[in-house]
This record gives sequence, C-alpha cells and structure tokens, in this order.
Amino acid sequence: MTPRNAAKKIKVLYLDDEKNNLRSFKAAFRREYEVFTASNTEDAFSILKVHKPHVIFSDQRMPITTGVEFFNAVRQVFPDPVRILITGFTDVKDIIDAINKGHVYRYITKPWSEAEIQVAIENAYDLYHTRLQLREKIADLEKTNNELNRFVYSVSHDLRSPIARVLGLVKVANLEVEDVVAKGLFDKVDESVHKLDLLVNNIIDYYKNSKAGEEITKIDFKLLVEDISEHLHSGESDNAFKLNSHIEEGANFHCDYFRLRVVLSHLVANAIKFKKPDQDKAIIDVDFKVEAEKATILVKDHGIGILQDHIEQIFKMFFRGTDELAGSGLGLYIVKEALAKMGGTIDVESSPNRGAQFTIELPNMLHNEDE
Amino acid sequence: MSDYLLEHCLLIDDNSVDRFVHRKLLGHHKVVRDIHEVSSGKAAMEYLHKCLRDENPRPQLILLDLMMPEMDGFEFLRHYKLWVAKVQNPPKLFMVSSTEDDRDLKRARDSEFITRLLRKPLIPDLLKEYLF
Repeated sequence: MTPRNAAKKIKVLYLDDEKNNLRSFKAAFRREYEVFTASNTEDAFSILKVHKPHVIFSDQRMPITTGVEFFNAVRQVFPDPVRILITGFTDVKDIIDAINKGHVYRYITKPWSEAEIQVAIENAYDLYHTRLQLREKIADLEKTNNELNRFVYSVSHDLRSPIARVLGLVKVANLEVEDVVAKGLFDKVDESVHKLDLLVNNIIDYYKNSKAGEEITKIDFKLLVEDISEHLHSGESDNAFKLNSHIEEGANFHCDYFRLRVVLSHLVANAIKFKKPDQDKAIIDVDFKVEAEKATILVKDHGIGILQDHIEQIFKMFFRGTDELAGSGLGLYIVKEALAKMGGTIDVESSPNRGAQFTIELPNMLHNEDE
Repeated sequence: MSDYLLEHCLLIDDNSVDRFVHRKLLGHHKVVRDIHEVSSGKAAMEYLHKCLRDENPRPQLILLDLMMPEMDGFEFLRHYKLWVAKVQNPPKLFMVSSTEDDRDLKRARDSEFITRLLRKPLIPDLLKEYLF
C-alpha cells in the first residue's frame, strides 16, 4: 500500500439517510480516518466543497435521490474523489450500469464488515493517489515538451539570421575580390554555411510538423510550385535546377498547405542534391493529378538514383545515402512524418543512375460539396 | 542615363551588416543607383514624408526588414498605408527577412503592399524578376 504521512489522514465522506448507520460508521473509523457524514445530498455537497474528501461512500436507497444519481452529480463537479456505493442485493442492474458508466468505482453490499470497508478505503486512496501523481506527471511532461519545442524553434530562428548574413557577405566577397585562391576559399565557406542553413531549416521544418493541429485550405498548385521553387532558389546555388510541373485538376483539393509544401520542398531539394555529376542543372518533373477523393503527386528526377539496399532505409531519421553528398539526414524523415500527419502515403521507385520517382497520395480534405 | 534598372531605393533594416550586404548586392547587380539607408521604421516614415514635400527623391523600390525593434515590418506597413494613399505610382515594396515562420509568410502574401517576401540573403536576380 502507498506509504503516507501519518499526520495526514485519509478523508472519507459517508452519505446515508439513516442516522444510525452514520453513527456506527463514524464510531468504527474515526480513529483511523478523518470521517465526515451527511444525511442528505446538500450537506454532502457542502462537505465536498470545504473538506475535499478522498473517498466517498453513499447508500443507494435514499428517499429523494439514489446513490448512483448522487455520484453522477458529484462527478461533474468533483471528479477526483473515489466513489463507492453501499447497497443491498436488490439493485444489481442499476449497480452494473453505474459501474459500467464510470459513476462508481466499486460497491459494497450490506451489511458491511469493518474489514471490508477498511480495505475498500485503502484501495480507493491508492487509486486516488496514483491518479493524482499521473496527472502531475503528464502536466510536467507537457510543460517540458512545450518548452523544448519553443526552445528549439526560437534557437533555430535566431540562428537563421546570422547564417543568412554570412551567406550574404560571402556573395559580396565573391563580387568584390578577384583573387582565385580567395574565391576558392569563399566557395568552401559558402558550401559549409549552406549546409548549416539546410540543417537549421530542417530542424525548423521538423518542429513545425510535430506541432499538433493543421490548417486545411484550398490548394493553389501553381502557387505551390512557385513557392517551392522560390524557396529552393534561395537555398541552393542559383539556377541549379529546372522544375517542370504538370497540373491536372479534376476537382478542388483541400489539405494542410504548409505540410504539403514541406513534403515537396524536401523531395525537390533531394532531387537537386542527387543530380548526376555531369548534369549542369537538375531536372525535376512534378505531376499533380487531383481527383475528388485524393491527389496523386509524382516527383521524378533524372539523378544518380538510389541503391536497392538503401530504399528501405531512406525514410529513417539520420540515414544518409552517401558520405560525399551528406545532407542532414532529416529530409525524407520529415517527409514521412508530415505525410503521416496528413494521412498520406509515399512510394519510391529507383535504380542507380536511372533517377528516382516518388509517388505521393494524399486524401482530399474537402468535406462539404458546396463548391 | 545610368545603366541601372532603377534610380532610387529606400532600404529599411536595423542591422548594419545586412544593410551593407544589400547595398553591395544591389550595386554590383546594377539594380539601383542610389540607396538611402535607414535603421528603423520610424526613420523610414520621416524620410518618406519628406519625399511628399520633394525634399527627398521618391524611391521606386523599398526593401523592408521584418524583425526590427520597436516597429517591426508589419507595423511599419500600417503607417506606410497612409503615406501610399497620398502618392501616385507607389514604390514596389519587398519584405526581406530570414524568417521561416509560416504566419509571417502568410501575412506577407495577404498584404496588399508587399510584392513579395524575399528570404535573406537577397538574390538580386530573383528581385529583378519580380520588379517587372
């Protein structure tokens, strides 16, 4: 049993319209527990309000309200105390119903014995105490989790502005300096800082996605493509890719815009990263096919492709296909996580040197047909 | 005539390094010949009001930082709105920021005064594309 402070007695309330029962209950348990008694529900409620008992006993058969009715009312206002019904055998159906609906924790049949009541009180208090601890733990965890999310999010944002500043300075340096050696060094700085920028952006995307909640809007696929290519222009070295899109809209499509953007940005960014070394520009085809029930999106590149051994693993956190072209190892993991939140699926077909084709299916979240 | 695309630009950014980078990039890429720099929304409004009295040349382009102390970019736009009402051919205004916050992107897209939100560092070629 839960060890507890001896000075802090378990508080028990007993409601019964027969005063004799109240008296004998109090006599039996007042040394061990702090016992409150009430002969009507009004008194019981005032005691609940002032003394906040841990365990409540109530007789089932009373003149105005039954014990089950009383407990049902109590539980709306005071959900914490553990409720135990005292009853004869005649009310079996009501009792089963009450237990099943969660109005009472257990019942004790008349005539009760002292030992029986004592065990019931101890068990009920254990439950009370455990529930309380659990609730505190959950609140604690939620708080820690929120703080962590906020911390990572704001750190990532605070990191982005100095990173962007360095990237800008490198651009200026490259414009102002003629020296070949210096330019070579600037390029290396640029490459490294771009990687850092990518990592920070991935962390931001990861946390954005992990936030609960979603914002369903009508998707403008043209705007989406523009948005993605603009975002990537500023991340990759300028003009290193060509994005061909084909949109076939057989219906209006609704989903979480920003999650969809995150998914496609990462797939396109990957296609750029894994272009063949002899390719000047990465060429990426994105096809949208929208139907009433779903949208199917194909993202096809003509890059180095994916090794069969790797295909199973690419969606895992921190998996990297090659050391040479190391990304953050977060990209496709974020894609998978975001799709999971949107109720979508992703498949990939690829072989080395033949490019990769990702197929995404997303449910249409347009529920009302009032368009 | 100069070989620059534009003559006058107003650059609003509280960070001096960012202003330096923007000035250099816009100059090297021949986007704009004359760049007036201010470090706050308040100073920008003062400059713009003088433009109404022809004490300053009127900018054709405004680059506006988002995150600034005291008056941020969106708050600046509330004052700018009143100014725009008084001019013909208002300047093209771009918000330039390192933000990754989707709410900012949405607000920028919904604003009638912002041509585009451009990410830092500025890509002059992209800016040129949106200018015309």
